[in-house]
Amino acid sequence: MVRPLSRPERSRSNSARPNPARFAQSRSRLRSKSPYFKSLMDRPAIPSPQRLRLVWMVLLAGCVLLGGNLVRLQVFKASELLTYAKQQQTTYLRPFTPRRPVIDRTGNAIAIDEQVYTIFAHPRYFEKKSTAEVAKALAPILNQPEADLQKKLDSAKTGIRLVDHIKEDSANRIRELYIDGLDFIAQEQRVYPQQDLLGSIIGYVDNAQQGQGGVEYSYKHLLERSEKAVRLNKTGQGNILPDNVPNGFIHQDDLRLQLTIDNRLQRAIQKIVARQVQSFGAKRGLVIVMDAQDGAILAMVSNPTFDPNEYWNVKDLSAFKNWGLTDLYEPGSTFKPINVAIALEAGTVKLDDTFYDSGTLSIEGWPINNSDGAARGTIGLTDIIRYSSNVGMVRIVQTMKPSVYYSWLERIGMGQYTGIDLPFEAQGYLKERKTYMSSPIEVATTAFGQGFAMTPMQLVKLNAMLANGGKMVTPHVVKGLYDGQGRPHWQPQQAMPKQIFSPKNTKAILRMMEAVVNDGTGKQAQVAGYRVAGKTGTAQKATESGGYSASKFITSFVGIFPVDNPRYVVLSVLDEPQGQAYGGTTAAPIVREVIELVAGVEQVPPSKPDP
Amino acid sequence: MFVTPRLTPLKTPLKSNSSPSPRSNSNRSPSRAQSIAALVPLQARSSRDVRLRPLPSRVPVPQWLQLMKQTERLSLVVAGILVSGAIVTYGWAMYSQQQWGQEYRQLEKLRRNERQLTTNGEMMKNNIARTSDPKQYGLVPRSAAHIVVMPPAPPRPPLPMRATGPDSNTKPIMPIGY
Repeated sequence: MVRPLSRPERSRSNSARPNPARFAQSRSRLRSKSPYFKSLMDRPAIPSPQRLRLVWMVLLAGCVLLGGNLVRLQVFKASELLTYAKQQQTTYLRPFTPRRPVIDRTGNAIAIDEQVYTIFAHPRYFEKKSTAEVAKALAPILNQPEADLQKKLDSAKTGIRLVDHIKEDSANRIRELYIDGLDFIAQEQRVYPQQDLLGSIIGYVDNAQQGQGGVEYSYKHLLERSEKAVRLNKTGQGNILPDNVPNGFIHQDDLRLQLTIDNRLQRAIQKIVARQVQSFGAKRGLVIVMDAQDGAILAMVSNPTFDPNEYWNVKDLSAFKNWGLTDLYEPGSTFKPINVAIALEAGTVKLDDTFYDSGTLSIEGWPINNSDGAARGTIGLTDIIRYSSNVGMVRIVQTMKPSVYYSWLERIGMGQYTGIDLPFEAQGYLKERKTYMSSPIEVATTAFGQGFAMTPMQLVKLNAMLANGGKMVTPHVVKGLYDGQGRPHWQPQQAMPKQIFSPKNTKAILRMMEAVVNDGTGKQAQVAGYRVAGKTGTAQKATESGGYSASKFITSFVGIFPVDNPRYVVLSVLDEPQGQAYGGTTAAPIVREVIELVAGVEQVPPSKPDP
Repeated sequence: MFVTPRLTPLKTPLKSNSSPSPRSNSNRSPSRAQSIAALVPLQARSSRDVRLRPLPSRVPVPQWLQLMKQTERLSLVVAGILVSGAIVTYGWAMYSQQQWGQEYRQLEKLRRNERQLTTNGEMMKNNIARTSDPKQYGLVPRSAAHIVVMPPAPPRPPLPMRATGPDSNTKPIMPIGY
């Protein structure tokens, strides 16, 4: 805007003006170049109203245009632009919150979450790249033949499920190729590094992140962490702005569910069971090791089992069963020491009582024989257990009134659940009280462990009572929730164990069971340096049509050691071993091997004789 | 705003013939010598040519105006501080947000690495336990044969207590009053 300066301004502006000499120079240069410029430059600059108006018009037009655009953006396109901006700046972040890991007793991770990706391809958006180029780039990362990939990519224009469950590092390698038209869907996947080692205990997690079976099912309330998606703002560069981050968004707890299972024991026992099942041609096998002090299960191996990493690949559905809990069986002779304990506790039998073993007996027309057919005459309690005398046991149980005996069976938890913290446990089977009252044969068969049914876990629980001085502990596989430093945050509340038998009686029964191993039916369970108490069991299997099969047996052996300081209960069960199979020949050797292992891992000092 | 570098005379005319009016000379631009001549300080001219005007007498500034001026100065300083503070705060906020975003990504990455490390470690252990023949590496399963048991020493007889008799050097002191 040129205007004549007023006097004071002019005098002030003298110093601020550019050098007049330089101006004169530049003007003379222009003049010399063109005559037009010469005339123009020589003319004095006279303020003209037209020029002023023109400049004003230009500026005004600029302002009007800018204002118009502002109105267009802020008024007419406002909502549309707002939506775009929100789309670009808002992100729904669902932090990866894995299920809590599960660790074993020594801290080895046995179940841990991993982020995996499913990749969808949309060849329509590959832009300049051909499907052949994309296939060539992806083939080495996905470990698939290039031709197969290209065939897949050519099959549709969009929505091709290219690969499932690829690991994070592979997904990142693909991302770095910057191929348009690839969609990465993040998923969580549970990984079980020990494969089938703990399948029956841990269970598995299905595609919908639901725990199915085992600890994954029964402790899902502790393992699952539901984290809602958080709405956050992000910058143009994609950085997340922390202004809306809720409290505790970053701090995930590092709690882990610790089991009482010992990985080392479990692995070694799994090998033993697999070998013995194979060598005896058995249908399936089972070993349970329990710490009788608190009911903690140190190992529970069932064969067959499954790999929870590939639960969809399991052909034999029975492998999903943890049959130590889900299947009932008739324990047979392994139940005899419990019956002796009941009779001692009921006070109808004393430790030095003797009974007449006639070898055979008839009750209500049903013949009852000793398994070896021998008649041993007058024998004490120890010999009845040592030789597993059926007749002797019937005589012991007959000292009690059926009602008293039945009450004791109920008291020790027959026909009930063990209360273990694993799902799908079967309830024991005990006939009704009135049946026991009315027919003496029921009492007689129960005396040697038939005519009722229980799970192998129940038998372990009962034998734990003999080991720990008569207290009924609840079997469990979970020790608690522990943080990264091993500090407990939650532990299962176990009820105070009920005292069922007196320590004096259980101690006496352990000595009787020791005789079984020393010079009775369970000699094959002897372990050098350790005093082992045990009881063999060979029970006929009940058939579907009623009655018992003549050729199908369940052989078992329950061992308790060390007798001088009883702590561990080991049960081994083989289902339908072939040939001349007895508990003492098939299951007892397994228990011997397991006791050697447990003694080594748990560092059990060798036994001392009774003073 | 471009102002033509042209020296125009003061409105109060200088009664000097020696200095020609540039206005009359308007058809050609003033030469360098002329420009310099126009810039000759007044003292150099004869005092006769200069009519001095007396300075206006100093009017006392009212108090409210002084107060206003002080307030203006103060508010200028405050505004300066506030603006610079705002710029610093805004910059810091932007920077810290950016840092937070980067650190969060780093945290996620570390967590992921930790999980992968744990999983891979366990898988390796499992692999070794499964595929290798332990005996080949001189490994044997832990068993009762590997326990070293130290039998406890028989309880030692208690040491006889040494009777601490009265010290022979000290003599019984009889209490005395002071």
